[in-house]
Amino acid sequence: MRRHAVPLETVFVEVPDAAVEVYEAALGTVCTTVGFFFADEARGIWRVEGVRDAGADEARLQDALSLAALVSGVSAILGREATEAEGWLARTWEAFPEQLVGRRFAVRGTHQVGSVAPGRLVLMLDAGLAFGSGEHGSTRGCLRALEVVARRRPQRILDLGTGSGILAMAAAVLLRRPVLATDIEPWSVRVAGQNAAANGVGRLVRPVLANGWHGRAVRAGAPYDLVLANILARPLCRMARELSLGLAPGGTAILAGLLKSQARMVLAAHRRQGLRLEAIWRERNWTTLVLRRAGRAD
Amino acid sequence: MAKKIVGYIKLQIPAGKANPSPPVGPALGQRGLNIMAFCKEFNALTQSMEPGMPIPVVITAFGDRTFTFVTKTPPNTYFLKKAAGITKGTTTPGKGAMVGRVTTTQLREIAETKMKDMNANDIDGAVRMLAGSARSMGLSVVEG
Repeated sequence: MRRHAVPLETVFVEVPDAAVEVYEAALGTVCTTVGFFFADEARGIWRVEGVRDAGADEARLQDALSLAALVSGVSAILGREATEAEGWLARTWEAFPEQLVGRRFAVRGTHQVGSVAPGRLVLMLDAGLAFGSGEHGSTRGCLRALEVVARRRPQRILDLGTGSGILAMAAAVLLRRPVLATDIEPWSVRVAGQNAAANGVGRLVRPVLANGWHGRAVRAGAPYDLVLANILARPLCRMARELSLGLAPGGTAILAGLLKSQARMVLAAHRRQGLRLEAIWRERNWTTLVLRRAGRAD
Repeated sequence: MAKKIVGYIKLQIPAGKANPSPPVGPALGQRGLNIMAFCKEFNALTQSMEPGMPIPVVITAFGDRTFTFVTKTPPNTYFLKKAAGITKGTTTPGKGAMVGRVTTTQLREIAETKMKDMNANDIDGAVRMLAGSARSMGLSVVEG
């Protein structure tokens, strides 16, 4: 991931309703993002704010503000606040409560203290920069599907696009079996490894840098009894054939990261490869598909 | 009961490339919005578009820290630069030499793509608006 070397600042003004649009345009000339929020709803005062590289295009900003004042007839005082460029994922994640998912899992951040809901398998996460923190519909759908599929006691397990490692860890704690966890992003591989170690499944979860099925470790581990892939619809479609070849007879795939509107496309791509639909889980706007390869009695 | 809107955030993100770095992280993070959920949904929605195409997004933030968002078509300048085969418009609008050209057919195609996000009554009006934008970027507009 690109590190943002230049410090950021938030510049803002507080203006009445009628002046919001022109000040929004003024800040938009130099800011990469512009927002406007109620500062005092009763009086109809808005805070119009923008984030930019600190001090960038100062003369242009002042010109734009002068023009906004002239056009709106409202003269506003510009405020400035230093703004962190990185670390927002972790900061916002800290505000989310423990997530109870399905019947078995509780997902909580490393910052959370206090007793855990009884009878739950706890997945502790330091989300860092990697995707997958348990509150997202696609992750929740996968965890719920995993609870059901786990009854078959799959032996060889692959998590494609592991992100924070949450699904690989869930499979490991539930099944006490080794899980190969791959990701295309190096920081995800690193975070997944750290999370697995923190959850006591560092010996079971093996994070590996790999692009889909094009990795030596991925190919060497095939065929799999269970493949988890919480990615996106189009990459899933592109990998449908490799998935069908990589699944053992009777093996199961849990596919997620697709919007409801994309489920049919993903399902069709996998049916063409001989996989059959076993279950669909819907969580908010997201769909999780459970597919199975024929070939072995349950 | 409808949720209470507390504000709006506008930004541009390359199609399929939302991640927690700037501009997404600071913009949403300062308001306590779920960055991960936004990135995942934005990338899912835009994955079929040309990779890296700038997509304007308007996020509506609610009082319970949830949000919805809508995506718009890329800005006029993106389409005009693409049609003219240039990477940058003129730095001296209205003065100096033109930096490229676009045809009226190209403008019409852009207008048809952009129509839903333009303040024009019909395609001809949208074409005229685009022609004005093109000239201000240093592009000459030719018939064809």
